[in-house]
Amino acid sequence: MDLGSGHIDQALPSFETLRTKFAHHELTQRAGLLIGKALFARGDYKKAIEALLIGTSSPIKEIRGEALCWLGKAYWRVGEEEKAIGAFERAASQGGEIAALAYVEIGNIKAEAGQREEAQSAYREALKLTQDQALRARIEKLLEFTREEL
Amino acid sequence: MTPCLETHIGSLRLKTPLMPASGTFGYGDEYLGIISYEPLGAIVTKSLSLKPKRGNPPPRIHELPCGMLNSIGLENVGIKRFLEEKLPRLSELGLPVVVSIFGESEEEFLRVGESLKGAPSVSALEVNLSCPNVRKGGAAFGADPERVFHIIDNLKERVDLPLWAKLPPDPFHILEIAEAAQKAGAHALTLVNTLPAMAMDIQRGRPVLGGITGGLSGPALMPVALKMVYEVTRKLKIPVVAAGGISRWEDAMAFLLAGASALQIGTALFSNPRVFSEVHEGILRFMRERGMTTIEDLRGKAHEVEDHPL
Amino acid sequence: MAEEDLPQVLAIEKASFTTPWGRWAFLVELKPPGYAFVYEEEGRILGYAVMRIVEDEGHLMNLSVAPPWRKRGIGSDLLRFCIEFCLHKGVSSLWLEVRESNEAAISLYQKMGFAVKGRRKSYYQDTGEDALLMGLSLPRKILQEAKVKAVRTMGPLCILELSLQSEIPFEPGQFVMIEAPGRPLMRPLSIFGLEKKMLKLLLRPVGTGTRALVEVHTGQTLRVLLPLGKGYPMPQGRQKAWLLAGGMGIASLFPLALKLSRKGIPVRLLWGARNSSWFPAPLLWQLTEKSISLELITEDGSMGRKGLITEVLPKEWENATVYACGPKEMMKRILSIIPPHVKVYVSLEERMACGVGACQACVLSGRGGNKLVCRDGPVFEREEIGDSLS
Repeated sequence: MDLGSGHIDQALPSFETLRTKFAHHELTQRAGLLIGKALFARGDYKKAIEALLIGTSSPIKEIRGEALCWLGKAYWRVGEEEKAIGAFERAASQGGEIAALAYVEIGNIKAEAGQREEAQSAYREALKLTQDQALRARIEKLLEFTREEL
Repeated sequence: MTPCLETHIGSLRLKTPLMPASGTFGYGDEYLGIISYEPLGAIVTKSLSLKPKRGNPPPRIHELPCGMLNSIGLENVGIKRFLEEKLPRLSELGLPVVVSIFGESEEEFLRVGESLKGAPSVSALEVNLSCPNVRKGGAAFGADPERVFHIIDNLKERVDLPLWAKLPPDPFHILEIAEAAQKAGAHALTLVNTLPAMAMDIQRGRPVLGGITGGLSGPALMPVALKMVYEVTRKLKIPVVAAGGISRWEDAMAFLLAGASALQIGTALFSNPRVFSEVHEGILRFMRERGMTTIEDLRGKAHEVEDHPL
Repeated sequence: MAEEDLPQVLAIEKASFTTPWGRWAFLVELKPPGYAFVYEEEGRILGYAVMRIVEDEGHLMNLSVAPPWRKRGIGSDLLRFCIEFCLHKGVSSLWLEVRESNEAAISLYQKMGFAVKGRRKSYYQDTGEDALLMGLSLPRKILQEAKVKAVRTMGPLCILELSLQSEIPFEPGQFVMIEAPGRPLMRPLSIFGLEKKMLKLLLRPVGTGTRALVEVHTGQTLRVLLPLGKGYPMPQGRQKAWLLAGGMGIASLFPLALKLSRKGIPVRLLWGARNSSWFPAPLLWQLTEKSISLELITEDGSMGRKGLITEVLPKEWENATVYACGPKEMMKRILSIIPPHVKVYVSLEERMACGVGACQACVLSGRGGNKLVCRDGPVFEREEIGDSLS
């Protein structure tokens, strides 16, 4: 499976084989994440979603979490905000650094939809989940912008 | 057997009948590296005057549903700078160069033409007669058969380059004007230049274009140009270079059947810079499918319907 | 080069190379896809070049100058001619192999812009030495069919994502001409983002062209021509950057902000717009990157400071390079407020047909004659534009 050189089109048939014959194998799920990210990078969001979904069934937390985040981004790109939020929420429940970023994404979607209060609570959840100063500074900026000016 | 697209304008041999319309291709090298120049039979320059001209204030263009208006105002670097800076570059392209010239008076036409005497690589002069005759109230030189005759006649006497008279699309007098150019010794006619027109900005309550009026070009102009090419080539035995709304190979075909010897494409280049390659391919394919081998197999064939009425 | 030149050519070949080409090798290249040229002076051939062109790739196979005539610039002239010829043919990359030990040749190629791209081991049979593979990318305005990947509306704005057929480098401030479905002319739009093969454009559907563009669907192809124009120059020395974006002006300043931030240059970005709907959260998130200090200004106060961008400009411009893009009125005002000694770059727009400097529609009457926004801009230094904003 040759993904390192970015030859994703050559990797896709192998992935198909993995998907149909070894659907629940750890290797397949890992591949789902890698292929999903590569497909996302070139704008094939629908196909990326298919691949990432496989990644999300991985028993390995890191793979699952990352796949869920990318899944959320892909759903958002194709206009499926509800599904995007769902994916991010699942990612957030994994905990860890990824959870903070997932909450930021949820906050962004809410803010864009004009739901400032929900956006703010998502951003605050994100703040709780990270000690990274740089990340916290960025989230605080978003909180500042979405604050209701009265 | 691959059809040969070679064509002749008088004694000038062109390897293909396609070339850009003056004003749309700058000084010839702006599109280098962007499109292939292979399908071109010649380069036609921006219209040049004796002295550099600044042209009109913006907005200089306005898009229409099937075409556009332009009021560039004949901005150009002037014949002197052209000879020094632009022509050497153009010569390197290996294509015949047709230099478009104009003047604000009859004398100016002559002086610009004379400046080009003996210039290397210039294959013909396209005389832009659509510019306004400022001394006579601003009507185009090309609307007056007498002015056309004098300008071409004088140039013919003093400049020994082939002359192509580019005429405005006056639908009611085109034959008369074309005949005047022919009598004066023009080697070919370019039919047609843009149609005087304008657009209104109703929000601001004034004309859209900085120059108030401009020239209409694009697909909207094609039926008008086509009729003129058909009629002129039927009545007069003078080569015609067709210009006016060509955007697909089918349009090129129409003009060839109507009697044109060569074709200019301008506005379509802005929609689709690959238009020359596509039209070239299209003509070749059409000819190949019908077993035609040269342009002469097509040129003016549409006249037969009138020549031999059933 | 013609067949009758071969005796002279072969003589030079024998004198120049330890493994010279034979007559037949030259004959083959005398017609397409081979192209051979000689440098002649008074009937005597002093040098020659042989190339092969297939599709949009050129291969320089042979370049020689007769030994007594070397070091007079003939080699450069021949090489320059070949490059021009390739441009004429629409070639986008030119390749050659050169002996690793041939310093003179390598230096000549490098002067013309060739770069070492690879190596062929033991390529030269006589000495067993490696060949360096050198390539030259030719002037990079590229016409392509781009595929729509996503259309995302966010309030009054819309982001269009398209995938290109090849990776194309760009400078923030440059723009594309893109086909507007159903309309005769292409539309100029700032490059909002361009990474790998993904092109992102920010638009506001206000005119016929932009309204047609937001209606496209994924999978549709649109003709694009890019990258066009001159981009924003980097700040000099240890200067910090002030980016002043008015409304849609963010389209060209957004990639600049990110680029400067990644170079570690401190960025103060002021973005002013009518109201908060202009600031989609995903864009704001990207603009909170570390070296970027972002301030938002809305006319109605619905987000950030209330007022106009021109009302909140600082009084001090120490060590600053200013980049401004927005409505003409805003930029006029900015130029009158900021002291003349401060470097200011502005990005202008004007109606365009060709985008490459051929039609002369997009004129700007600047100091020292007319300039074209598509070719001399869209980024201009304040000194260049004089009074033309009024």
